[in-house]
Amino acid sequence: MKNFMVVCFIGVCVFAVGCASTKVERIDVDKTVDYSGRWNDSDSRMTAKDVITDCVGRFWIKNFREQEGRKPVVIVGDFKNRTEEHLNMDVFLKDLERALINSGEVKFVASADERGGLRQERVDQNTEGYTAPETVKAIGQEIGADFMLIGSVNSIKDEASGRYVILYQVNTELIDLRTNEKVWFGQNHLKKVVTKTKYSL
Amino acid sequence: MIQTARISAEDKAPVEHGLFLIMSMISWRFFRTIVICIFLCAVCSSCASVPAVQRRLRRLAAAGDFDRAVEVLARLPEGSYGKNNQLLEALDRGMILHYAGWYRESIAAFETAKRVYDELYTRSLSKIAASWLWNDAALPYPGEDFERAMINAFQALNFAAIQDYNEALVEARNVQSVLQRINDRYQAGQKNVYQDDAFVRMLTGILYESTGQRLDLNDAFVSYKKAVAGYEGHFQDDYSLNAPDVLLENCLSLAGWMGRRDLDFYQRQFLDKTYVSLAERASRAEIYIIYYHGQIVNKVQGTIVLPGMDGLLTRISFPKYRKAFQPEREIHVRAVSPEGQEKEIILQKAQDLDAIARQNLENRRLRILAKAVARPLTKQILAGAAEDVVRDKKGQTVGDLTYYAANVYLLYSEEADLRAWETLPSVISIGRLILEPGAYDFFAGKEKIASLAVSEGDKKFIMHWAAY
Repeated sequence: MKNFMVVCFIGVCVFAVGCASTKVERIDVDKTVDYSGRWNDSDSRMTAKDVITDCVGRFWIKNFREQEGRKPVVIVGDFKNRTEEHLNMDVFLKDLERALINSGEVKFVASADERGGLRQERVDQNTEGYTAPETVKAIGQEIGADFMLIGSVNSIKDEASGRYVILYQVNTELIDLRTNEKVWFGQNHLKKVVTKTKYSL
Repeated sequence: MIQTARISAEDKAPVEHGLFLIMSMISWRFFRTIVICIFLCAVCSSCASVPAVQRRLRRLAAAGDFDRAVEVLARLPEGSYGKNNQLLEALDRGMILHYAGWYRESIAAFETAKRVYDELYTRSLSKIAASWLWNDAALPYPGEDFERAMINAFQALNFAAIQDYNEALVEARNVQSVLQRINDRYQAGQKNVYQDDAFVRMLTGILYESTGQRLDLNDAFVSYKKAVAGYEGHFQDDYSLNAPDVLLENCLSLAGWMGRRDLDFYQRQFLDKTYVSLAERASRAEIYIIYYHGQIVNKVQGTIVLPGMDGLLTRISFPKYRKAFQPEREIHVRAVSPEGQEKEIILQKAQDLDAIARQNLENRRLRILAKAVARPLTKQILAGAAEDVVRDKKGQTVGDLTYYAANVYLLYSEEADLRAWETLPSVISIGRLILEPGAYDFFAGKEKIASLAVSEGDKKFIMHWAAY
């Protein structure tokens, strides 16, 4: 009887391990959760915030305001993924844009990808007979950007025996669109150590 | 299974008669023993070594009926291959979708494959224990080293096919980590092991070149050098594969870009092979033809039945590759312009997955055989002990039945692990056409394989599968 109980107990354990159930837990958006060690939403958010805080706190803004008497207009350009992971660069770019707008130090205009749709909408509005004249937005009123923010995400990985350390380096540059002068350069680092266990129960 | 049979008084047989024995043994304790054995076997087995659905997909793929294979995949719920074959399922999905030209869907499947492969790094002790009580089908299929590298290769081609060269380069970078991880397992210069993949290195170099940026051209040159070293080293020794002309030409053109010293070195090494300079290639369009031949050879089971201890029969099973015939056939690919101008190349064998798979299994043969011998021995000891206990407690007759059940268990449970990524091609050939900008139709023999419009500086890939 005792042996039978032991066998049943082992069987129940095996089934319990094999059984799948779905568990959902809502957490705060700002909470950092790491599962795989890869670049995730927390990395994107924290890096974007650090990049923009550094960027808008530098002399180029003060110099521009003194020269032009207004806030600079910034556009986000191309950000290259030079890592060995497929990063969702859209998420990172949106985090950058959000941080830029929320800083209140710059004006921000739509990127090249977004402008196509906006221009089409204006052409539609200006097509006679559809839109109330007093609400039509004239073509040729776009604000030109003064600066473009571009950059890249790079990574260096060192790996052995199921453990690896990965360094992400985010390089960001602000370029004067009139003169091609680089007015600001930012570099942010993020380092992770990931350990994978060889065995589990 | 317990069977009962009614007997009449006239038919009543001596105590040794089989039917009477069965009836007399249907007691709670005996029933419990049988239930426990069946329960343990069911828990340990999970599913057959090779999922039946994979065989069906393989047959469709072998016939080149990828549209039908995609339909079958679309109807298959996730997990159809079984819990231990998630990697296999993702690999087959990715491959068939790639062959069928569903590149975006193939990307998703191969990303799943990469994720599952990483998760399988952690091995389950309970499943390892179960594999010793049953067979290796109780373990999740972990994938071979060369299969892991080929995921990156096909994934890179998927991204190149949808002209997302940035993401194709992510695959190129990732495969370097993968190959480094594989390489680190072996000592330098160790023979007959899959330490590196010259074909994947060559593909990586081509993709790095596609951006035209200085940093990437450096990386392209490094990849080409490693590919050349791979072909001239273990690919030649182990798989009888020579470096394709496109690799030698690209290496030379990058060497020319790097400087005189590198160019002189490689010109001497390649016996003054001609090449087109990087600048000239950038002013025209390059079309790379990736030609998949047939299907990779599949595993079959080798079996030896032996008498074991105490008269118990045992079976030693091991996987082996069946003999397969690879016809040698020259593939001529032509680009034909609307004006009727033609340019033709002959493709060259660049990757022999049959040979790699065989070599890979050969390298593990001793380990596989050692387990194939040790496991039945372990089972025999356990079965023998169980039989002795049953014989002591239940008597001679029940002991005999346990003996027969143990034989069935020993013979039935010993199955070789025949699982593999069976939808891989047998051989991959490559060639490159350098064309003036314009529109072209591409033919492999008489078969039209693609129509493309190309501009200056374009680098495009045409992937095509044929039975052979």
